Amino acid sequence: MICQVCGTRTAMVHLEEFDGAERRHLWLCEICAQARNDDRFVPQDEDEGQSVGSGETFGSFLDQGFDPGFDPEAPVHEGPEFCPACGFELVQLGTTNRLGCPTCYETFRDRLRPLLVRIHHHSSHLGRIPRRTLGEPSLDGEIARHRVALEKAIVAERYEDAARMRDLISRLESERRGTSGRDETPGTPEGS
Amino acid sequence: MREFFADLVQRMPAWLDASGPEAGIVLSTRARLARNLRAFPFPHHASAVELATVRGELGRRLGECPDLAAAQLLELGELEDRELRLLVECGLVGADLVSQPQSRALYAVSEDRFVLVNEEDHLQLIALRSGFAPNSALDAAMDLDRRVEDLIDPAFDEEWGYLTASPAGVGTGLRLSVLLHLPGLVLAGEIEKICNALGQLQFKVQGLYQKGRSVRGAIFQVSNLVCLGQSETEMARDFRFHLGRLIQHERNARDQLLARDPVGVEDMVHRNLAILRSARLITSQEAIDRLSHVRLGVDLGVVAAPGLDCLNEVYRRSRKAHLEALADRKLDSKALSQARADYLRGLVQGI
Repeated sequence: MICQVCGTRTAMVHLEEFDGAERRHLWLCEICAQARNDDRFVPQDEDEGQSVGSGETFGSFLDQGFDPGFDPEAPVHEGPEFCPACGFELVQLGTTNRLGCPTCYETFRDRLRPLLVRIHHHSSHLGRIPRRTLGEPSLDGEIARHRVALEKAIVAERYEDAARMRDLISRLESERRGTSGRDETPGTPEGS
Repeated sequence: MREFFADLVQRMPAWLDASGPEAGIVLSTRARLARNLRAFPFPHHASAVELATVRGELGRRLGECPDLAAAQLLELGELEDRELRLLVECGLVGADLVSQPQSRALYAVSEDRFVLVNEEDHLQLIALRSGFAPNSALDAAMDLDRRVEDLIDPAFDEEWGYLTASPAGVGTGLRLSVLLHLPGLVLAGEIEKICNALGQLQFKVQGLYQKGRSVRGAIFQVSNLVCLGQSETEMARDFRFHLGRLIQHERNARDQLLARDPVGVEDMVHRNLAILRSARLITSQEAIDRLSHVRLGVDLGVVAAPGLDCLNEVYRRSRKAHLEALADRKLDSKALSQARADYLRGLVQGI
């Protein structure tokens, strides 16, 4: 691709500009990119203090692009401000995007619930359960536990959750019969 | 341990060997499960003493698992700076740990399964796969989970599932991600539309090599944002479905590009190849951009070599710590550009 500014050199830099109303794409050669006096887009070597990013890191998923929408100033339910187990202060969540310890979830439960719904669009766990919590190391136990959760969801009139749990239970039951999805056909959900 | 690093530099990791499904577009797939101990603060909130206690506790408990007892154990605090940076460049640990490696550890359980201690969470169980294989990666990560869960007794809440340092990981604690090469969509000007659509479907898209909003080399990382309210298999099913569609869009964009302007594509590929073949100095970012065009050319059959496996590896091998390990000395900026150009010339020679 040819540079969209000089029209002669090969474009090496993809630049996105946003003027408040409209976003436009520009493909520029290195010289024109430099001329735009925007050093973010000038290729620099990692050894010159500009790392090309941390790569495919195991830690990068949780801490980037996550906007919990937590506003410490917003009116919230009454409750403790500090976690008694680790001393974590709830207002810190706005800057760290992390809690202090597992007990924080219990301490701040009522105030975290809306936040978790905002992030995940769901409010209850439907995945795997540790064997110890389950009390018995089998798929049967997991299914039994989800049946209890299904009943609870119906009583609480959380019908969307209930429908999902029902689907999950039927899937676990078919898993118990020994069927599971594989990776051969991209773009097609398993079992459909 | 030294053999581990010699291997890391010399050998192609299984998850980059381009043997998996959709290897022309997907470099690798990863599944990661986050787990924490109940009674301890999360790593970011822990003091040095608490971090060391967690490390000791996990070392003791994981030692009872035969697979982990037999694993190659790397105590990050005992590694040299270059070794740590090699791990970062391979994507095996986060860059933050280079400056704070104490009480962190990496267990290499097998060539493509790892357990990381005290990074974002107390424990991360990681499986990597070549190409597009979310189910297989998930199976491998869950297998690791089953082996260690009784030993670690993870923090778990009846309402919210596995508790993680970030509320974004609560629920399954599962993060599925793929590394994708999307030059077709970038050249067609459709990448932003696609990224926005993925965002609405609750997937996170970021450039692997990114400065501000500029993505280099058309290499993107896509991962799930939602962890709560879906089972692990549902998550993998949705991930496969939506990412499968993205792969199809990229395939269509490449086909259209070639059909519309075959000579233009050929010119672009050979022009970039010629620069890689001739350059005596090259920055990492220019290399990433040039390699992107060559990789597209290989996938479209414009050029036959280097193979996709070599091109998957070249992204880490042309970075600083790898080039320094190869040269066995520290390299300044110019020497680094030179070493990179030498390496790349060797790679594309004779094509």
